[in-house]
Amino acid sequence: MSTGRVLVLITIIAVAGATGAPRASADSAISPDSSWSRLGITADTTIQDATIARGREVFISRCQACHGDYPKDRKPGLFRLDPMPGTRALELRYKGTVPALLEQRTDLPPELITHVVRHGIGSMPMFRPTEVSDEDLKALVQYLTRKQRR
Amino acid sequence: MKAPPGISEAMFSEALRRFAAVVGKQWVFTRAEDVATYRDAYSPLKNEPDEKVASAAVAPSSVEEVQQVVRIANHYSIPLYTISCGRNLAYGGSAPVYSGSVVLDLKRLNRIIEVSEENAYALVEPGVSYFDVYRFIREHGMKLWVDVPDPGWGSLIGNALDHGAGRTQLPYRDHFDAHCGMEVVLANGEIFRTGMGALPTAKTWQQFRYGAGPFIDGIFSQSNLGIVTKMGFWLMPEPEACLVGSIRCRRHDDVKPLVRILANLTYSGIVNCQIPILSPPFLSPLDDAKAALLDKPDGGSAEQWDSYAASRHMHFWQTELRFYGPVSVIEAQWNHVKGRLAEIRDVQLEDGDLMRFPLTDEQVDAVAEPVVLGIPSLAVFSSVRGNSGHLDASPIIPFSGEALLEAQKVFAQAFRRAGLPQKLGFAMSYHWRSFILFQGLWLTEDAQENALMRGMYRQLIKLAAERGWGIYRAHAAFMDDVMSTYSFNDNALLRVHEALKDALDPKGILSPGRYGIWPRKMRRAHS
Repeated sequence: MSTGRVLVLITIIAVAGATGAPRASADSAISPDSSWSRLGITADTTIQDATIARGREVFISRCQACHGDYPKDRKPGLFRLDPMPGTRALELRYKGTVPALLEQRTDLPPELITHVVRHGIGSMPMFRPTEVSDEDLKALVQYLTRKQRR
Repeated sequence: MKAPPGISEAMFSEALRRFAAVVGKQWVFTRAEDVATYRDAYSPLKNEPDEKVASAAVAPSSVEEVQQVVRIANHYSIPLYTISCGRNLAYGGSAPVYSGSVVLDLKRLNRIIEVSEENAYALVEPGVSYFDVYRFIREHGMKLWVDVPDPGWGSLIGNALDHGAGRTQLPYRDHFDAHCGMEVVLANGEIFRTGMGALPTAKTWQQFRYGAGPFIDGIFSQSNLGIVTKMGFWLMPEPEACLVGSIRCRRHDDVKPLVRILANLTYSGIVNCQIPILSPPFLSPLDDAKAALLDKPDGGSAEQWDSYAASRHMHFWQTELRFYGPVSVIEAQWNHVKGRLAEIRDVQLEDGDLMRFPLTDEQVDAVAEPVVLGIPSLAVFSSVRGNSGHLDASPIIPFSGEALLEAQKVFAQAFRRAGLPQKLGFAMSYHWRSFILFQGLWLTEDAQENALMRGMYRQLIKLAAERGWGIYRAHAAFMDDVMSTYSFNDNALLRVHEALKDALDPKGILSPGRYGIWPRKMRRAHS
C-alpha cells in the first residue's frame, strides 16, 4: 500500500470515528514526489503495472480537467465555454483524423509528451516539477503510450 | 545559472547550498530546463530581453522549511518571489516581478488542515487548489461548497491574496472577504497568526477574524510584506437548490433601470448572486455600421444604437441571475425580482433551470457552467484558444447603468482607435457593489504584436484612471503602471506601503516590486 493510500485511509478512519458534527482534518493524500492529491481517484483494476497506474493518477490529477471527455449533448452556458478546452482544441485541430482524447491516442511520441508538459503549447502552460515531478512525468508517459506496446 | 542582480556567484551558490540542506537538493531548481518552467506562460514580454525570469527556485514542504529558507535568503539578501500554485495566468503566473529572484514555490505546502462542516470553513496551506478542496469535500460527502474562480487549478490562498473572486453568492465569492485568519512568515523568518489565531488557545480562529487590536490581514494581500502559510476560508453550506432567472432588455437605455433595480436588490440581500451583464451589440464583431457609431465623439446615441441592434435582431442587454437556497425561498426571490423588473418596457423574464443538490457525478459532468455551482473547471481557457495567452485589464466600474454605458463606449472607442479587436468586454459583479468590465488582450509569439498589446494595456490603465475606474488587479509587468494611478496626495498610499516594507522587510528580500512596492535600494530605479 502506498503512502498516499495510507493517508487516505487514516483520514477516512478519522472522519468515520469522529463524534458529533462532521469535521475532517487531513494531510490530503500526497504523491511521494509531487503535490497532486489522490483524493477522488479510484483505482483501475485492469492496470497491473505500478508505473502505469501512477501515470493514470497523474493524468487524472493534472491533465483530465482540460483533456477529459465531456457529454456532447451538454447545454451551453451563458458564455458558451467548452468544458474541456484541451480536448476541444484537439478536436478542432485534427478533425477526427486521430482521437481528441489523449488517453485514446496510440501515436504520441514520449518526447512530445515530455516536451509539451514542460514547455506548454499554444495556450496550455508548462508544468513545474513541483506539480508533475520528473518521476511522475515518466509515469505519465508510460500511461499515455501504454497502447503502443500491446 | 545566473545569480540575482548584485549577488556574487559565490554567495548565491552558498545560499543555494544552504537552501538544499533545508529542503533537500531535489527541491532546489537550478538547471535551465527546470527554471524555465517558472516562466510566465502568458508573458506579454515572452522571449524578449525584458521578460521577467527567475534565477532559481526552491520548494519547501513545511512552514518550518519556509522559515529557514527565508532566514537564509535574508542573510544573503537573496530576493525571493513567492508563489502558491503559480497559476495566476494573465497576471504573471509563476514568474517574478523582479528578474533574477529565486522563486519560493509553495506548491508542496498542500495540506488541507481542517474542514468543518458544522461551521462551514476550511484551513489550508498555499499549495491547496480549488480542485483539491472540492474533491476533499465531495470525497467526504460534506454538505459544503467552495466558491471557485474561473480557473479551478489556482490556490485558495493565492487567489484570495490577489483579490480574486468566483461566481456563487456573497460573501463567499469575494475570496479575500471570505477569509478568516492567517499565518504569516515575515522576512526575518518569524511567524505569527492574525485574528483569533494569536490566542494560543484559540477556538475561533476561522470564525472571528478580528481578534483584538488592528486588523492587519489586508496588508498581506497584493503585497510583499510577508508570506502567508495558512489561511482560513468560509465555505458555503450546500443549498437545497439553485434557480436560474434569465433577463433580456431590448433597448440601449434599459440598462439604467436594470442595474438600478438589481443594485437595490443586491444591497437588500434579495439578489445575492454574481450578475453578468452582456450586451450583444457591443460584444458582436466590429462591422462598418458599428465602426461609424464608435467614430462619433459620443460613441453613438441611444437611438442610433437601438437602430443598430434592431437591424440585427439583437437584444441590447442580457443577464442571468441565480438564487441559491430552499426552493420556496428562491422561487419567492425570483418572483419578487420579476415584479420589480416589470417596470422596464418589453423586458423578457424567463424561468430557467431549477437544479437540486447534491448532484451525481453524471450531473456534474453535464453542468453548463460549473463555476456558478462551486464546481472547479478549466473551461475558461477555451476562450484563449488559438493564442499563446491573454491579458486582462480589469477596471472597476460603478454599479450603475449610466457608468456601464459610458465605459462600454470609452473602451470600444479605444480599441477602434488602436485598430485592435476588443475581446471580452462584458461586465461581472464579482465583488460587492461594483462591476469589472473585462478588457481582454490576446498575446501571441510575435514580439511586435505583443508590444502593441502592452501599449494598449497601458492606454487602458490610463483611460480608466482618468475616468475614476481603477484597475483592481494587474499583470506583473504593469503593477507599477497601475499603482501609479492610485496617486491621491502625491502617491501617499504607495508611500505608506513603502514605509511598511521598510519596517517589515528592511533588506527587501520578499517579492520586490509586487504591486509597485519596491525595497528602498531599488526604489529610485523603478520610480
